[in-house]
Amino acid sequence: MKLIIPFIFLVTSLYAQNDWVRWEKVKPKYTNFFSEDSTTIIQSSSSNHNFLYNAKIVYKFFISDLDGDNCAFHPTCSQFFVEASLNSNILQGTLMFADRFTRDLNLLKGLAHYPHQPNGKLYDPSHNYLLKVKKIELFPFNQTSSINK
Amino acid sequence: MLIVLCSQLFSQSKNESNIFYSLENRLKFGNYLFCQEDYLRANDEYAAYLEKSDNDTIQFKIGIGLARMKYFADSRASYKKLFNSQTLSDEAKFFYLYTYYVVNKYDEFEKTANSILPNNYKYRVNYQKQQALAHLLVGYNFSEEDIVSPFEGQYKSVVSDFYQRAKNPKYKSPVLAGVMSAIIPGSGKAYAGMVGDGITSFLLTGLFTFLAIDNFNKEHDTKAWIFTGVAAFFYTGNIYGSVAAAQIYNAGVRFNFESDIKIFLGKTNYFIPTTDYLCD
Repeated sequence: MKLIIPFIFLVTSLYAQNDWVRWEKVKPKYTNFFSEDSTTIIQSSSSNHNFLYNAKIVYKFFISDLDGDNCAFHPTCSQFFVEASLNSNILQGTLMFADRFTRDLNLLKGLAHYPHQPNGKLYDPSHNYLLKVKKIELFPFNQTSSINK
Repeated sequence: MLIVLCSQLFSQSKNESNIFYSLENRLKFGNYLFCQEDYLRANDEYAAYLEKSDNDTIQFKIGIGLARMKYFADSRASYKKLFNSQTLSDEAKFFYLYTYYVVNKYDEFEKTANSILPNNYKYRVNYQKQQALAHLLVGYNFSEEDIVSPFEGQYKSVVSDFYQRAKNPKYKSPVLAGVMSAIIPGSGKAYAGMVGDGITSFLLTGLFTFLAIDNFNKEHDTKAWIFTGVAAFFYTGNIYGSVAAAQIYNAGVRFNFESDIKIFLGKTNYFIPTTDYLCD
């Protein structure tokens, strides 16, 4: 029994990550330390927002950037948690993150349930899970003609 | 003598130029461009023609061209000039209303129709067809007879089916999904169509609950409370996610319904009478 549980964790974590491409030397970029992901965070002067923003930076620097960009979803789970907490409150954000984490651990992700982005990621924004029907966005690109309506 | 010769030559070419750019020729060229679907340049020629002469058909074609280029506000202005026309009043009113309909402004579509409904029977029936489908899209409460009556033949059954889908949408109850997941973790997600996520929720919640109980039995309290916390994390997340999954499912049902109506309108060209007579 004691061997089975770590084995299950090993298998799920292996399959949950999709970064099977061999890592190669990357040309260093000196323009911007933070990835595009972090620029989508709403910056505010409130202490809660600063705390989340700083926690996200620490997590990205020490953990996320080390194992690569291998989350199947966009936004990533950490970004999802930050956005969920900023758009609602920390409790609701935690519940949303728990749900997102469960869906990420699903080995057989319902690929038909999520729109595919051009970079292969599955579109799963936090505002779909705020329990506000009008905020649900089934597709990432809302193309409407803006010419002289 | 040279000066006289040159002046004669100049006046001859000016005459030829005047004939070339005559109103009639500009109209012919405009009609040619219109039939080639080059509406922007056709409208230039028509505008030049209308500066010198009045013509309702040309004004109407300008409106058609602007609408086909999606300049709906400008096309409405063009159609409005024809509301009192003796020949094209009904056509202008119908197409005026259509410019609201095609951009999903159904409230303006209905409000405006109260004052400028076409008198011609053909246009009135087609307007009623558009109106019936708009009612389904917006969700107004009308009887099936009111919605289906403007249609005939095969369209009757199609619209009747749309009516049934609007009246009895196959929505999932978010409350039921939450309650199901509270009783059996993951069952609410499976109810909302996310079977894989439901199984994952069930396994995760079950696994950590088992570990918590097992450690409590062995009196490893610290580990037991950690596992209890993780189990609670996944359990509450599973309930929340089930409610959200049901809402997203319902949004998908609504989206598919609206898409099917839009596809039907596209196939029937929005019940717009053909304007091929404009390209004789």
